[in-house]
Amino acid sequence: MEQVTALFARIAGAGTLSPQLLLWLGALTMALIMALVMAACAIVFTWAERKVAGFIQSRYGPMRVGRWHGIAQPIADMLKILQKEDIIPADADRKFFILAPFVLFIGSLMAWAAIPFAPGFVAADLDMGLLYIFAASSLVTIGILMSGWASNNKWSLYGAARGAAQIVSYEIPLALAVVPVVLYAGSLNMTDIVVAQQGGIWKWFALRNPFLFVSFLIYFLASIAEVNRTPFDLPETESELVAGYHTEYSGMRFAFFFLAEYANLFLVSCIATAVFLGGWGHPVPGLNFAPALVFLAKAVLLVLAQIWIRWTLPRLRVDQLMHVCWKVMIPLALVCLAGSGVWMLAFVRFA
Amino acid sequence: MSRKLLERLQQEFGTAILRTADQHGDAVIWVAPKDATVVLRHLRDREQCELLLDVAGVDYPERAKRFEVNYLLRSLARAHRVRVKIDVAEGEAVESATPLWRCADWHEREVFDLLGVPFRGHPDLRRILCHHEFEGHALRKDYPIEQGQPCVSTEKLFGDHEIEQASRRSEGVAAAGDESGLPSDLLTVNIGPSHPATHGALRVEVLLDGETVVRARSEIGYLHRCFEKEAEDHTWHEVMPYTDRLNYCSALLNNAIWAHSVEKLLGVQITPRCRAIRVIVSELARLTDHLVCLAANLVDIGALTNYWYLYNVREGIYQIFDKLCGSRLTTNYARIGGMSHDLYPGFAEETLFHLGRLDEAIRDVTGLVARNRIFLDRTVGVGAISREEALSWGYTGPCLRATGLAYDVRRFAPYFGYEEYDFDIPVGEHGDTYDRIMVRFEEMKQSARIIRQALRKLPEGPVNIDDPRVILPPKESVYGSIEGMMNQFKLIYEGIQVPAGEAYGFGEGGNGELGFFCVSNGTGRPWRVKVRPPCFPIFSSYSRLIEGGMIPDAIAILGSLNIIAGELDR
Amino acid sequence: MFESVCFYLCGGLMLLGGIMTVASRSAVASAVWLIFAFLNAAGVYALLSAPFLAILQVLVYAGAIMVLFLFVIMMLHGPVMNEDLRSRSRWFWPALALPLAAIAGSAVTLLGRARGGAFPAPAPHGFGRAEQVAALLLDRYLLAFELISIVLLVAIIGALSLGLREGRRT
Repeated sequence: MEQVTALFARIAGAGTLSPQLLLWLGALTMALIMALVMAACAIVFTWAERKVAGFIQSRYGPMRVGRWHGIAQPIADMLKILQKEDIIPADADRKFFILAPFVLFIGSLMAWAAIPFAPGFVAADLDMGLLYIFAASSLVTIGILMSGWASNNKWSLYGAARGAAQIVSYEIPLALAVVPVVLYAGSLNMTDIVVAQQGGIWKWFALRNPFLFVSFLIYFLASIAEVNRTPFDLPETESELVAGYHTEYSGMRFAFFFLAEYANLFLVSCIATAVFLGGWGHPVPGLNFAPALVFLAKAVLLVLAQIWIRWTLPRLRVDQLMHVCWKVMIPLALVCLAGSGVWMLAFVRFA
Repeated sequence: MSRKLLERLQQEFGTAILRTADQHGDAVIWVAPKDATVVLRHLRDREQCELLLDVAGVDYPERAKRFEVNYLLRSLARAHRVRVKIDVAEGEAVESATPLWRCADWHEREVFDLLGVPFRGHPDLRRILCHHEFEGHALRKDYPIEQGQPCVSTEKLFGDHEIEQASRRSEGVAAAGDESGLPSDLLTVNIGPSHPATHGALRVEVLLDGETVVRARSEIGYLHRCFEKEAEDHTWHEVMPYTDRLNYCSALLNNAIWAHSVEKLLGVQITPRCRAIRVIVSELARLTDHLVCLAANLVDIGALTNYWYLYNVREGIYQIFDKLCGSRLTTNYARIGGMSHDLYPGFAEETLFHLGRLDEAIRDVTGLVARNRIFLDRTVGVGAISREEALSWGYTGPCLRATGLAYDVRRFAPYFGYEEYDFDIPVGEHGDTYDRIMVRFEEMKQSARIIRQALRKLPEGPVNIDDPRVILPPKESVYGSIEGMMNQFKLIYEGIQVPAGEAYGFGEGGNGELGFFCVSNGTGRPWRVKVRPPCFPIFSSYSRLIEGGMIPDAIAILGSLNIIAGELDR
Repeated sequence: MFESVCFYLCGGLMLLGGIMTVASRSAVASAVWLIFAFLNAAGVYALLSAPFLAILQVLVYAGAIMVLFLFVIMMLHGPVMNEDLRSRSRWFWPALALPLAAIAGSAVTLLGRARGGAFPAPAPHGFGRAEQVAALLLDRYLLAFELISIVLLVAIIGALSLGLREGRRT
């Protein structure tokens, strides 16, 4: 944000704007950028998802709108969804029904503030950025529960219950998997964590030691569960729960769920990039001019991997989902945490 | 074979057996209602008739004992085909066979529903296909075919008392003294009639304890259009397009077996070329049936991509059907005594091409799922049923073979010359969802094998038999000669004059044994047609299969049983 | 200036959330208002240079504990809960008097201090950050911290064994 504020100051001429005003301007700009990133990733990733799914399933996916490979399909979809009738079921709890998509959306929007896309390019360079991100995204659960309950539909309620149980459970391996990184970086600040990984691919936390690599895998799998995608898409399984917690939603309200889902998908990939894959760091010489692009490229690759997994694997059952989380991932994450600590003591010289 | 059995039975029961007959290889015995249970029990225990195929009621209003209830039995071990006939007057009850075969439950309910014959000792004698508010009995001859009845209310499948009971049982002792006044902990949820996993219209009411299904009860009939009543109102030929709508995933099989049943009654032999063509189209239809079932089942488990791999092949086969019959789904291709027309030029090449794609698809899909840990966790041991239980529930087809019993009508009682082809009968071991899926995969390979053989030795010659009483004359003769025109006129307006009698024609359908029990009174229209839909008895066991499992299991099991509502409800 | 505006806003909304929590007729609404109050409390913590506490407030209370609350409320039958809440308990007035007394008490204390000009000194830079909290917990109060962990562990095991025993009976 400092960069943005500095930019405004330079444009207006030094000293003409009060620091307070500059702060406001900078915050507004960053918020706008983040909202745009969110909207953009929903647009790009819906298209990418459909094209990749098409490729995997030996078909084309969208081909008509926008001439080139249906590139304008997401925009057409958006226009369509805007015109849809907004239905609120007669017996629904109106207030919560309306509120739920916003809670969900705000939860995922807030988390974006602490993602460092490039040196200095972060909306809020918080001391406890990593914790903040987890805190903000934990609000998503409340949105899911509210929507499921307010819909007054048994399938929605089941979806919400599954969603809450799943997300609350998988937050634990998710958080445990990043703790060794915090141990290494000695900071919860996202920028510090990325900076600690600069200077070659072997500095990336995912590749620092074998325990950290396993931690990275645990994080990646748990993050798929966090964003409710196959094989962990139990809250919205269409073959079991019709559409889960958003069964009763239509039109723009449904779009908010959709938007939040893709934004979350990208968010967890961005966190993985920053925490495990060196952020904007890269081994290619001469690519230093666009650190943000490097960051985005890594995150997009992770998103593609998630899409790939979604279209390959079947779905787990509820009890198996919990089994994987509590009896496999959490113990493994704890082992990795301890292992990483021992590794640090044995091989890493403290500065 | 049947003669010996009849002699044995007569020695055993003496005068209790009122009459016997041998109809097209089926041993038929008449017994009085009071002796029915003893004879049926003897047949099951001593003559190894482990399978109750169907219970078919026939209405003869002019007789003193108006209704005739047929129990169609089958012994797999001894290859018996037995029909036990019981004549009852209006209001007279038949002893229920539910203690002997569990599938008798639904079959008897159907007879009760459509004809109004009561069954004594039946545990749950309610209507099944018609709405619970429906008045009268649709298949009685005096029920006018045009008379519709608007019925609207929804039937509650579980009474409050039952829910209370189930809830107490699930909570056990711990909550017995709980006087909190809270309602039961069980949640009543309707799966269907409109639910993504039912792939049609059927309803299962489940009592859930969390995600676990404590009790389940299913309701069918949402797609009931009384095919059997319609059939009585049409000529034998005109029934053909209606059979398309039974199991709409494999319409050609229905066509072929319907034609086969009527031919049995007529006593005509179809030409060698027609037999080969029927084998080919039947196996193609079996392929589409299995492809749809597997694709849908895998989607239900969440493995979406496999759907396209399998459906692409089905699409290819549908294109063949389109060229062959002029339509993809409702084929209406077979004719009594032959086929509507011969294969088109280039049929063999196209079919072989698509069989190649089928092999590829099977390889791709089994590669993705067969050893996938998640898939195994979701299917192995899920919805398992033992061989004995499956027989008692009236299972046939892939679901029965998944339990390890190599029973296939194509081998058991070959028709269309299936005995000339070289093929294996794949069987499973545990009768669970995994085995059902894998048996279908293997069966597709065998079907492809049969088609390849049939195409290789496809005999030349006419497709239709040369019999103007059965086969329509060629168009030139209809327009060119008075005899031809008269012949056409008679066949179209009066129908094929099928001699009076009964026959149960059957074959291996996509889901198991598909049979048509046909009764003719010597006119151009059937007196009674009773379909033996393979998924009807299978679905009757569904609620038992899912109790104790979880919702996702229930969905996976439903997919693997391949319930086709069009055939289930008729 | 800006910080004071934020403080009063968060404080006011927190109070509103608290009042609505008790005033709401439906249990779900109460829970949601409580979450709202917690979020604003987190805002107050952040303004009082306790960012770590603020984030934990959201992560633990709003994000986890309240989710559990909502979960339980929703799993119980909604109408039953509403019915129970509709009757006004005879503890209503005592329950109202207690917080009012507490508020009055703290107001008197604060006003007295303000008159005497004895405000506590502002927190030093870096106060309330993760490092400091960690240093306190893992150094000065290590014994207490570990004891609490053991108590929690015992509680978890106790809950599990109770739950398992009830489950086995069925």
